[in-house]
Amino acid sequence: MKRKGIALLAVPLAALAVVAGAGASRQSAKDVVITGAGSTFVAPLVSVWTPALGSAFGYTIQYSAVGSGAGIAAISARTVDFGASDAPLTPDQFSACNGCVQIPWALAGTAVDVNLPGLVLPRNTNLRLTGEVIAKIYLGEITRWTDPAIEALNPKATIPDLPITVAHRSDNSGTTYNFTDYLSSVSPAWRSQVGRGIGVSWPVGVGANGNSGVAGIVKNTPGAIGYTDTAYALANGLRFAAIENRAGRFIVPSIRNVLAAGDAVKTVPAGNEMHIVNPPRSNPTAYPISTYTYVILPTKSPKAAELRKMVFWALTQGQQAKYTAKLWFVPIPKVVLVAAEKTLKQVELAT
Amino acid sequence: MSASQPGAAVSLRAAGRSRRRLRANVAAEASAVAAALIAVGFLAVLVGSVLVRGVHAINLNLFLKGPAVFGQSGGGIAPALVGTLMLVSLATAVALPVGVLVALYASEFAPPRVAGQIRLWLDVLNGFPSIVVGVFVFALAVKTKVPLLGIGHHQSVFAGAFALSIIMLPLVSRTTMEVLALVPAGLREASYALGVSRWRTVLGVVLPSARGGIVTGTTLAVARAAGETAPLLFTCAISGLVVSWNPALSTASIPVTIFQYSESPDRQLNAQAWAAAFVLIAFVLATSLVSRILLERSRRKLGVG
Repeated sequence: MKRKGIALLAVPLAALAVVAGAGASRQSAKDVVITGAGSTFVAPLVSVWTPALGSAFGYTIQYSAVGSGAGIAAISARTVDFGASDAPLTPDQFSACNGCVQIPWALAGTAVDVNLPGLVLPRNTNLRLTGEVIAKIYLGEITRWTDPAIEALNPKATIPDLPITVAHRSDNSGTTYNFTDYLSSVSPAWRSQVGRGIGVSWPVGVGANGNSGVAGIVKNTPGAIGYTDTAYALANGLRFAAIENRAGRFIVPSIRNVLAAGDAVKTVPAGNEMHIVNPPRSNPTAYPISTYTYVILPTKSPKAAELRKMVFWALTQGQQAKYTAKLWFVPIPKVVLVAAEKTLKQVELAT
Repeated sequence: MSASQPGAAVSLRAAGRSRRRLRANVAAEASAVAAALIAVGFLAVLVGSVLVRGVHAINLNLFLKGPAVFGQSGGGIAPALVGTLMLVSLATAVALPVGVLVALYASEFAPPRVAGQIRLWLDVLNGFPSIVVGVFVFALAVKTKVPLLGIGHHQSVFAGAFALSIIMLPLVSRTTMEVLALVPAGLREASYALGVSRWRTVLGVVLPSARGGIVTGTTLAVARAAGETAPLLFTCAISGLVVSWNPALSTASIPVTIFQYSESPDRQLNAQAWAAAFVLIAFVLATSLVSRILLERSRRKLGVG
């Protein structure tokens, strides 16, 4: 009787003690948990890196793909150990982050996915689109797939007469930044009406969360068009369009073509912010909607040694074909690698 | 009725007003039976459709492994199972003692007017929108710094368990209050007559008699908490791909995983969402059955019904 009463009162106290103890002590020395949050664009690559990092160093990477905007917010508040964003940080975000560096650690293309049942194309070709046409579609000026502008680009194709369903991101996204960066550089109308950013006011279309959300809309809606990292298009069996670059050629986001775009960077600016959309004509095979994606690290961190090891591994071993090839990520060029490693040295142990 | 004439056959079939009344009876009975069948049928259709869509994804991997590497097959919902286990355990550890103590106060020590008020406000809390509870806990424990438990500025199992315990509290409390009211007054009076003090009577005589009801209330509350999604969306939804036992971090949980996987374009993840839904339904069914059995037993013991 009395014991039961004491037991009843002791339960919450015991629970509190256990819980406080567990909260206070982080993890045992041998198993290091590194938490990260951010870009869904790079999430496929991080997910194949995770088991490899586990077996190489014993690190457990807990990466939450919540979108670049949320990732920047998370690392600024130091609720995670690293952030990931495809959009470079603005000066405001740098100051909010209070001592962070951005390091480019992967390179890939943003595919423009289309779902057109009944589309008949000549063998081994993709649907051809130009930047202006895509901008007009996303501005709501072109509303059917049989519009003369699209048919003119694809004379040998049979295009079904479907209305165009535009899919875009509803969360703050680095992929959106890359896509709108491209549209702003090819379409003055887009630049003045909508502009570029991790979140914009989309004139038309349906929104979804994350790269997988947009892939889902495109996959399930006949007549849909959307923009995703190429890995998501491949994983979901979506067709992507061939986009016209400045040299006048229609290019798909394959590894070679994205590498040609990545090579457009001859020197890396201080701060590592690089824009490789719509590269100049001197790269004839460059895919015009490519982007570097960044890992954001605090310069002072209690896990500085582990973070440096992890990012160094990602920049070197992580770029090998066995991790990147299936996802159509591209090994980063040497000049960018050197700049990345130099920036990595700024990450120090917090005292 | 037909006029009775000597020698004429008397028809036993109803006629006129009787016939109309009979027809009305049959119609009402039929519609009541149909309504009952529809209600139960809904449950059967629900469980059946979840089973049909999810059964092919139920295998050992589902329970033992975490989500697969991007684009690959296999993988499971192990982090979600572990997360729900942690969330529900912590929530019960908080809600059970507090709920029982509230019920004890309201039924044993409070003046009747206060007890009535407590009963009313607990019922209000029971019907509270769970998403409002989630937003409240988000503002209290996720957005601000709470240094005591090492949480704050990020989601954690603690915050999620806190939200769930708010939802569980009225269930545990009200069920306990109902059962405490069923304890015969004679038992209490006998204890007082023997000179036992009030608190010892409550803890040693009244509470053990109400044990079955308390367990019933707790199992019902656990079944509800395991399936709540809205309070977890803000407090414990962002998670990685591996099983985590650390309650200071956020983990996956079954209802949030169902939500995320069902939105995914990957067919495999959709199937896993169905399978997780089936696991959740099986858990809720099992706890409901257990609580039913326990309620019957406690009723029989107290000599009611």
